[in-house]
Order: sequence, then C-alpha cells, then structure tokens
Amino acid sequence: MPTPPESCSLSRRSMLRRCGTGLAALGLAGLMGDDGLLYGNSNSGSNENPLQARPTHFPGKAKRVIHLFMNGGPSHVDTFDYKPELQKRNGKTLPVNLATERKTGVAMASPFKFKQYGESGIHVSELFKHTAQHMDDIAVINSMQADVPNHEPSLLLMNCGESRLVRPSMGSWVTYGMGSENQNLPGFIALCPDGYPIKDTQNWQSAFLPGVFQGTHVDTRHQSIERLIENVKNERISKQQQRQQLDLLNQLNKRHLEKRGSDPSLDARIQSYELAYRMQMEATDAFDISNEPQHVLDMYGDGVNAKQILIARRLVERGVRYVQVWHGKGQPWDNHDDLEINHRLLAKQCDQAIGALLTDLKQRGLLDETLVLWGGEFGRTPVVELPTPGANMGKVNGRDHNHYGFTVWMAGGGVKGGKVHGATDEFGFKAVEDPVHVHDLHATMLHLLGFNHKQLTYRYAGRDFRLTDVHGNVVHDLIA
Amino acid sequence: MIEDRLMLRLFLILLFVTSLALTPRAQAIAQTKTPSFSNDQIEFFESKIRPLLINQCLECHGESKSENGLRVDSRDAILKGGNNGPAAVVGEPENSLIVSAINHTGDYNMPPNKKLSDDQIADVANWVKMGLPWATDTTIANRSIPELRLEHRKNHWAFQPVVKPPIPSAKTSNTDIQPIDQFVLAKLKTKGLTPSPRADRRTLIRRATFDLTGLPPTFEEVEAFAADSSAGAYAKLIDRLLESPHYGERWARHWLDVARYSDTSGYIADFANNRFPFAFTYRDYVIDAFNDDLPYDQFIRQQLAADHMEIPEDKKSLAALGFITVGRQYQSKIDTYDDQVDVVTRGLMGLTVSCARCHDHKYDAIPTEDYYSLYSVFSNNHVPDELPILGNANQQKKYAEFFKKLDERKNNLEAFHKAKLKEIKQHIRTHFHDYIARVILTRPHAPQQRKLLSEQPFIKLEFAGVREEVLIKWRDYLAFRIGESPKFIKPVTELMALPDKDFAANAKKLIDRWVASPEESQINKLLFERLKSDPPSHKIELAKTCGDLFQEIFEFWESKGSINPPIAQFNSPDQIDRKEIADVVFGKGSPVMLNRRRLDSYLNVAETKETRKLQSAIKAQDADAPEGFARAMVLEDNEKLHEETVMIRGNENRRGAQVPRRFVSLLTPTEDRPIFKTKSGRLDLANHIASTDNPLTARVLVNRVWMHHFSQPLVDTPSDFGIRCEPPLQLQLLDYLAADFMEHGWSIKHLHRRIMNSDVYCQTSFDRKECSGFDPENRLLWKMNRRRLEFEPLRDSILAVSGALDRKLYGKPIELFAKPFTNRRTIYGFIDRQDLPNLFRVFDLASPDQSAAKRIRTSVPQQSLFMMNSKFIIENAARLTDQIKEFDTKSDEQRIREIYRLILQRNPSEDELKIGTQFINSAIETPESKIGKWQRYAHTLLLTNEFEFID
Repeated sequence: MPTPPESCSLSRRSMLRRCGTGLAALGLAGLMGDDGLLYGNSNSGSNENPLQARPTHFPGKAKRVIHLFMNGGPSHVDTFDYKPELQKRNGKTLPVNLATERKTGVAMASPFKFKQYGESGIHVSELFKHTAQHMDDIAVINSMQADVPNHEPSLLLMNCGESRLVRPSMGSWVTYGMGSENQNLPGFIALCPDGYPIKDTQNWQSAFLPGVFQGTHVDTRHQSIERLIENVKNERISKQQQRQQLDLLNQLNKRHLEKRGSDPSLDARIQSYELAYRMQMEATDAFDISNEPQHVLDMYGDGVNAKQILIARRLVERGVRYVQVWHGKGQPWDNHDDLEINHRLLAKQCDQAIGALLTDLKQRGLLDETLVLWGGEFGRTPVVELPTPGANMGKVNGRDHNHYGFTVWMAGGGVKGGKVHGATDEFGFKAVEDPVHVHDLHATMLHLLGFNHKQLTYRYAGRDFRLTDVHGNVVHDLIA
Repeated sequence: MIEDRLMLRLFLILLFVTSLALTPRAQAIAQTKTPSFSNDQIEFFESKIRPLLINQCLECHGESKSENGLRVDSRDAILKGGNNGPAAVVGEPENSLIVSAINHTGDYNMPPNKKLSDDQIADVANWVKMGLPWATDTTIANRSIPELRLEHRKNHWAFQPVVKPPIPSAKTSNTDIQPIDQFVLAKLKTKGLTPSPRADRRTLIRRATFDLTGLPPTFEEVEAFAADSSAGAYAKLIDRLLESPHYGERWARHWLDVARYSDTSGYIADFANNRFPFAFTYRDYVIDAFNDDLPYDQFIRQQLAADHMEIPEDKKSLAALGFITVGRQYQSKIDTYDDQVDVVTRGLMGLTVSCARCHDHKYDAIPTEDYYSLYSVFSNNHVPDELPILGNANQQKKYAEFFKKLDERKNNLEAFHKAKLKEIKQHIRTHFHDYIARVILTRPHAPQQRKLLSEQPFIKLEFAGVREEVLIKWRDYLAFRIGESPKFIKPVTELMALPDKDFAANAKKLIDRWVASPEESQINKLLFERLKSDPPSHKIELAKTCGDLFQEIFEFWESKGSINPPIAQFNSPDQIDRKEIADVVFGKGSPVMLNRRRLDSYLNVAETKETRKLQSAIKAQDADAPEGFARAMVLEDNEKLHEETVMIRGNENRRGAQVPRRFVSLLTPTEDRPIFKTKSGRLDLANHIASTDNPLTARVLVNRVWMHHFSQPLVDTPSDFGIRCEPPLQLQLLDYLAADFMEHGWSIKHLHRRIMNSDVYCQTSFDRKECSGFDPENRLLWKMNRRRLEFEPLRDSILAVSGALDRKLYGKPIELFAKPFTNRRTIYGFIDRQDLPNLFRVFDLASPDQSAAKRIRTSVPQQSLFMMNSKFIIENAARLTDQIKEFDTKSDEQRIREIYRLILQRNPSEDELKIGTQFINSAIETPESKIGKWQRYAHTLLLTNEFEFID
C-alpha cells in the first residue's frame, strides 16, 4: 500500500508527554526529525500524522484486526462449546444454577447437531458449518468470563475494557499505538447495518484519546458510497471541476505560505486537501464490492452481513488497522426466546461469509497478519429462561445471558490453530478450567499486535491510563 | 515426631539466616551506619533530593514495586543496590550507577520516559559526592500523607500563595510598557532573543476579532481600523469587541469544554428519552456571565451553589447549577458524583482529586478521605422531579396551553399509579396463602413444586398469576422479621429449615421438643395450638397453617371496619396472641401495607415500562416546550443529610472510615479543618475555591484565558497543577496576572484587556530562524502563534461571509447538520454525548464526557473532505455572491475584488486578480454542473489557508 507523506499535525512533544512511558517505549522518540527539531508545537514545530504507521513495542505477528461482533450474546453451548452432558440432562434440574439477569429453570439441550471438524477434531454445531471448515486455523476459548450478565456493561467491557466509565475502545488504543497503513481511509472502522448496537457510538469511542482514533461508523445497509462515508463525494461538482479548484487553491496557498516563511501547520493543510482528493477515490473503491469477481461474491453469499464481511476484507487489504463488523443494530443475538429459530437465522446470515473470509484471507496471504476475533459480549445459560411478564411471556424456549462462561474464537495473526483453550463445567454454565477474563483477552490481542499491554498508556487527567487498567494476563497458550 | 521435624526445619532456617548475615557483603551493609550530616546537607537533601526521589523514582523503585531489585527509598537500600549491584558509591558520583542512569550514559536511561533537567542531574551527583546525606527517618516511602502535605505545601510552586512578583524593569524606549511585556522581555533577554515587531493593523483587527467574538471582522471594519491613526485606536477596538454580545458566545464555548456540556444525559436503556431539555439554560447563563463580566469568583459560587445565594426574581442565576448537572448520568450514581467531583476540582482548581477515589493520590498529598469528603458534598443532593421554571411570575399564563398539556400527562402517570396501587394492594390482601406457601417452599419455580402447588385447593394463583415482585417482598420482609417476631416467625423458620425428606417425622420431633421444653411459652399460642393438634406432614401444610392465620388476622381487622392503624385493633389484653401475628401482617414494610411511596418496586416489568413511558411523555412535553420557556437544571440538598464513608479501593461494598464534608486538606493551612455548614456544603466548597487565599483558582483561570489568546497555555496541563506539573517558564508572569486578576475584582474582561493590550500579544506571527532554532515551541513568546480556526469559528465564519449568519442569541439547541441547515452559530448546535457526530470528533471538538483541559489539534483529510464536499459548505459558497449588488453587470475583476472583500476582508493583489481571472476563463462547464464557476471560485477561497488561519 502506498503511504502518503505525513499530513497531520499533533504536537510531537505533547504526544510524547501524554504518552508517558508508552510511546517512548514504542520507539516513537525515534520518529523525531533529523532536521534538528526535537519537538515543536502545532504551530511551529514538526509535523506528525497521528495515523502514520509506527513500530510497536516488539514485532507482532498481527498487523490488523477484524472483530466479528455477534452482539446480543450468542449461545456458546449451541455453537462452539459442545456439552454432551447437557444433552443428557434435558428438562432436568442442574446441580448448578447461577444467578443471571432473569429467572431460569431446567437444563435445555442444544437443538443443534454437533460434529467434529478438521484434524484437530474440534466439535462445532451445524450453525457454523462453514466456519467449522477452518477449525485447524482457529483457537477456541471456551472459558471466557465477563463481570455481569447485562448487555451495556458487558459491551463496554468487551470494547473498552471498562464496564461503566468512559474509556477509549480497543480499536482506538490500537490505532493510537500503531497508526494505520492507509492514510486515505480511517484507521478504525465500525461496520454496522441499519444503525447502532446498544450503547451506540460508545462502543468505538476514543474518549480522551484524540478524536482521530475514534471508530468511524459505516452503515452498511446503504448502497451508495455517499451514504456510506460522510462527504466522500461532491454531488454538485465534477471531478475535473474539483481538480481545477484544487489547482487554484494550491496557487493561492503557495503565495500565502511564501509570504510567511515556513510553517508546518500551513503545509499540513495544503497536503491534506490533496490527500482528501485521493481519499475520495480510494474510499469509494474500498467500499464498492461490485468490483469483486463473481466467484468471490458467490463464496461470501447474499445479504448485508455477507456484504459487510467482504468489505472488511477489502478494508484490511488496503491497510485499515482495525475493523469491527457488528451483526446488526440493537442486539440481534439476544435470544431470550425462540432461540432455535433465531440462532439458526442469525448464523445463516453470517456463517458462510465468515468461512469465506477465512478462506479468502488465507488465499491472499493475509491471514497470518490479520487477527480475526469472533464473539459476543457474553454467552447464554445452558438452562432455559423462564417467562417474565412483559418480556417473553408464554415462551420457554430461550436462554438468558451468561457471563460466567462463554466462547470467543480467534484466527490468524499469530494465533495457534486447532486449539481449544479452557473449559466450562460439564453443562457449560461456568468457566472452570483456565478462565480467560476479557482483560486477559485484550492483553493477549495486544501482545499479538506487538504491544506490552502494561506499556501502551496515555496520560490524562493526572494519570496514565491503559486498556487493561490494572488487570490482564497474556494467555501464551493461544499463541503459535 | 512431627514436632521434631519442625524443630529441625526451624534450626535449618536459623542456620541459613545466620550464614547470610555473615557474608562479607552483609557485614559491609551492617557497617554502613548513616554518618551524621550538617544541617545544610540535610536541607539540601530535603529540598532537592527527597522530592526528586519521590516524584521520579519511587513509583518503580519503592515499597510497592522494586524494578530490577532496586529500591531507592532509603539510604541503605541505595547503597545495597539491586540486581546490578550498589546504586551509588559514597563520594564517587562517577562510579555510581544512579548518576550514569540519570545521565543516560550507562546501561540504563532513567527515568525511562524523560531525562531529568541538567540542574537535577547535577544535584544528584553533588549529593552522592557529599556522601548521600539523608534525614534521620530511614525510609521515605512510608511517608504519611500529613508529612507529604507539609512538603507539598512548602515546596510546590502551585500551592504557594499568589503574591504579585516584582516587575522586572527592562530597559526600553517604550515609556508605557505593560508589565506583561516586562516579564517576557526579561526572559527573552536572558537568552539573547528579541521580540517580534508589532503586527500591522489588518492583522491585529482580524486576530482580536476572532479571539473575542469567534467571527471575522467585515471589510469595512478592517478598512476603518487600518485608517484610524489615533493613539487609542487599538485599545478602543478591544473595548468595542468586548462589548459585542458575540464575545459571550465565543468565550462561553471555551468554558463549556471545561464544563463537559451536553444536551443529553448519556445512555438510557428501555426508553429513548435521554434529552436534557434545558441544558441550554446553562449554556445561555454562561454566555450572559461572560457578556456581563460577572466576577469570576461569583461565577464559581453561582455554578456550585446559586440556590444558596440571593436569587433574582427571574431566577436566572439558578441555571448556573447546570455546571454540576449537565454531566453524563451514569447507571450508578457513584460514577455521576465522581464526575461532579472531577469537574469541580480539575475544572476550577487544576487538582486531580478524582485520582484519590480508590487509593490515596499517587502524587499529590490527597488522601481518599478527602475525595469522599467532596464526594459527599455532591451525594447529598438530588435533582428534583420538577425543575424550577425560569422567568417572571407570568410564565404560567404565558404558556397556558403548554401547562395544560403537561398537567394532562402528569395526571396520566398519577392515574396509572393510583390504579396500580389499588390493584396490587387488593391482590396482596386476597392471596395470603399463595405467597406464604411460595415463601415456605423456597424454590416454588421448580417443576415438582409447581405441580404440588397446583394440587392444593387453597392455592388460587397459577404460576403465571404470581407477581414475582410481591413474592420477593414477602420473602425479604418475613426474613427481616425473624428477629422481631421470635414467637411467630422464628418457629416457622425452624420448621422450614428441616429437609423435605422425612419432614413429617422431623417436624413432629421438633414440635414434641417444644412441648416438652419451657420454650413452649415462647411460641405464639394460636400457632402452637394448630401445630400440636395437627402436626404438618409436609411443608405445604405448614404453609396452609400460616396462610390461614394471616388471613384470619386480616379478616378480623376488616370486620372491624379496616380502621387505621390496624395494630391498634389488637391492643387489648385478650388480643395478645392475635397481636403477635398482627405485628407481622401489618408491620412496617409489610406488603399488606403497600403505599404509593413503595409502589415502584412492586411493579412488574411491563408496568415499570409503562411508568417509564408515562414519565418519558412528561419529559418529552418539556423537551417540546415552546421557545422561550425554560427551566433551570438545578440540584437540591437532600432533606436528610448523611456522612459518606470511604469506599475502600473504590468498592462500594467495602466501607472504611466515615468522613465529614469539608475541604481538601492539602489546601487548608490549619490542621483542624472546618466542617461544611450549609446543608450539603456546596456553598462552603464554593467559598473555599473562589477565595483569594486559594493558590490555584486564579492561576488556573488565568492560564486558561492565556491559552485561548495564544493557543498555548503558560502551564501545559491546564487542569493539572499538581506536583508533577513543573513550574512554568513564565511563572512570574502567571503569578502577576493571577494577582492582578484578583485585585481587579476577578474581572475576566480586565484580564483580556491586560493581555491584549500588551506588545507580546500584538507581535507578528512570522517565523524567525534565529529564534525558532533555539525555541521552536515559542515558549519564550518571541512571536505570536499562528492559529488554525477551531470548528466553531470556522463554521461561523463561513456563515458570516456568505451573509447567512443568524446573529440571534440564546435558545434551544438545534441539529447543525439536519436539512435545511440552520444558520445559527455553532454554539447553539445540539450536542448528543451518546451519539456525537463523527464530524465533531474529526474536528477535535472536546469530548463532552469529561472536563476537557484543552483541545487536541489534528489535521486530517476528513476535515478537508468536509470543506470540499459537504452540502453545508456548497450551499454557503453558492449564495455568497448573492450579496454582491448588480453582480451581472460587473467586470470579472470587479467581481473578484468583491468576493475577496467578503471572504478575506481585503482587496486582491494584481497577481491574485490574474489568477482569479484565469480560473474563471478556463473553468470547465459540463452539462451536469450544478453550480456555476463563480460559486466554485468563492468555494475555493473558503478553503484557503488565509481563511482558515489567523496570523
């Protein structure tokens, strides 16, 4: 990918100061110019682009991330956590019944058939039969844990490492830490059709990190590029006319600059218009899947999820650092009732495309450098949810939220394939073997990207913050 | 045998320890008894070394962490060293690891993130040379907060009282030189630099106008000022601009960054209405405060405690309390109060008190107790259900129609609650057995229990008919009554506790034991009779017995005509047994006695949703209130005040000492700190902050104002003046301005005049190599900083030059980018903190979630895309030329000239005329062109650096 010249200005010194040990350790200090300007303010100093790609603490296998977010909470015992004992106890009271958000009753066997896949022989349910073709490249974590059985705090925990307070999201931390490889596209993009998930834009917020690191939301339901990305196209001026405008602009700005001697911030704006001009083409192209050959389109399948998963591939291929793909607005996977019907439908919307994504990345040689994360904010109970007046009255065929134990999986980016890490109890209620907290998952992902999670910090309001706060242990077992 | 082994082990350990103690190295350590040092040496240690070790080293090399095995919190520890041997050799700085590490000349570069100053390095080397003088206390890590406090108060620049420093007298020909210039010149002189010349008049009027109003001057204003050669022309210009109502709009926006202003409360599940319909009254209050030059100390007091001060007839000052209430409303109130502590301490004093929420502040001497003392000032308040209406008494009449609708919606809610109260109360009073049985069976949802219940003739409610909330209340209530009803609940509970298996036999045994023991008299007679005559063979029978008794008692009361209070019906001596049960049935907190106040927690999910919907409708009515109708976003002191306890590690379930409400100890010179007296203490707090004795308040404000004039503050961390904040290069200037500011009645307009009338402010912004090579960041203020317009003045300028700007002040917020586009100033844009437009972040607007110290400045292509392509810009470019009279009959050069005057407030040069004409002549026209070449030309001028930057 061509990397355009630096275009943005964020005072290097202020950056370094804020970063504390973080960026110094990152080697950003080495970015300081050879021109003898060790630092400068945004008016007169040197001229950094906050999205400029930069080295991490140590070389990481993963260079970019695709997070397939099954928002609402997919049921692990119906997908990747096979529990024969649960099948046997269908309709019976289980010896464990932990308090979750709502009242639950007896064991509910999975209505889906499981099968072993690949050389690793990992069990996967029929819901993800396409994804399952790649089990030998996937590390399944069956012992995930979050803090509470409620969507809002769990979404924030999964995204920002903190369930209540306003903190930067992981995508923001990663782009802050390593910039992006394509300056014509945002470094962090959140794809979500129809609108927002629960908790809205907080899921990809940059909080106290500079706004440039915030996730850019793209509503993938839209067809036309202008609606996908704000202001990416001028509907009233043709390309040639715009070129004429920019040529005039350059003449005027050049004269303005000459009168004032050197000023990097004036330079930065001049370049920024040229960048924006190019971005119009690049962004349009990145989101336009009609350029894909038919066999690729067929491989991903139909529907908005297939489309956005394919877009995700096009984005990482172009060097976008962090792409989140949300299944849909609200919380689609939150099946308190009619779980069988709904899970079947939801998996059908994304499974083929996820399988295709992994195939596609592999074929293009991108999988090794692309960390793919699949999962929700928590899992679901192995026991049936009891009806609540005003909610799922009259239906006893769904599962409640479960933060005690659930599943996520990772592939690519230095992850050990064909691996099952940790385990829930024999029914799938609670992680009992090698539990992995969300903080541990974050620490591990940062490690794969080349960061020491304790050193990726940002000074704000008197202290150094980090994604994992005071927690997090790298799970080395997951790393190839 | 075991004892023998233990002895052997102890012996071995002892042997090991002794052998350790005998190693030569250990012996050497044992001998390094601290030699005695002179008072001067100790003083040197105390003032130079101790603070340095604490601030720069102990975080990693102290009690909690000892990286690489090294601790530097005692003299012995330093001499003993870490994994790489001793950190210092007495008297030999050149052989001391600590010295090479801080010099970055050895294997280590310490501190890792930045090098110490040359002075500091020299101090350490000097100290090692002296033999590492150390005070009598052996370690410094365990210093108590009071000790640290004394030290910080004594040594940290920002905690020293504000004293007007002597003004240096620079030799200059300028006789009426301003003190600001004297300070700056003095510093420049020490480095051999000179200030830049005064900028020309056109530059000055543009700079001053943007600075004070956030809008460009007009061409005519620029021309008039350029032609005015009278002596006081510039000072008059500043005065005129300060009188503009747009001044308040510009500076209110700066303050709103500090106040984390938003028009929404954050995330609310279930119901969508998260609007703060009246946040704008706070914004408008701030605009007025600046325009009226409200003294800053008064501004602080009103924002914290306007309700405790004199309130004008129109109640306008109450809107000031929005400072506290417009923050994010978290799911947990604890976090909301935390945000309030933060905005007040960081925003007004540059003190990061919130860092002390979970543990004592890591750097500043702020113990958690102090945090909770302030937390308590906020947690003892609530936001009233109905906010006070602003304006005079005629509001009711003026908005009669609105009030009628509002009352309707309130009545709907009231009616719903009334009906529900009646229904649920009736339900409880007619289903004693249903609930008592389900309490006694403990797991009534289990299938076999459900089956059992359905077979009982005395059970009326099916599973689905049970109100879960009522069941929980009964369960909690009866459990809570155990202690208070030893005669009734206790024996029942004991029977309940028996296992289901062999219940009949065990129950019989228990009852027989009661019969045989004197305890018999302890058990309620009515209950005991039934248990004796017909011992329960299953828990469900026990349930029936209890249910029967409850129902009988209740019916007895009903038969007496349901006279209140019910217990009084059972007071006669012959009723004594009945009274014991009546105490349970009608006791405090019994579901039977449900009232309006407790209703909310008895509502089921659907009913709660309905309640929310109805409440939401009331709020929505407020949100749709007619323009002009306004309420103040107040908070009120709680009727019952409580003292908070420390939450250990921030955990609300782990409570520590109780703390009174009072000011932070660090800033209170006396050891017995007065306890706040006025209710929650907001006014007391305000008085402590808005005091000339407070070393921080004026300094922090002056620094913020300076930052907005120079786009760079004197103190780099405007909201953190704690001990990690080094004294600014221009400390004396800061102190002078702070003292002068307070002397002049905390007048912000006075401060503007002081700053803007200085030569420093009026310098050109051109680069000078001889200065920038030496001081690239312009810390010494050898020039003015060139600035790019922030988003607000940029958007406002576009509207201003296109002739579309709506100059109306105040009012409800408007969506900025909804069509048709509003022409109002950006400060009136709707700010939804839950769905902040991407564009706001792209243009680096402050996040409304935390008090923002300063804005980050980036230059990214998305900003340019907005300028090039957004419909808003195109629309304004397109109508810009409409302002030019007889446009069609003018020559191209005349048109270009007029466009330059509108957009850049000047005439074009010959060269620029030529370039412009060329553009027009070669402009491509295609059939699909929707806007003409002149509009495209004007659009291009809006993109120029000259338009976006202020020299």
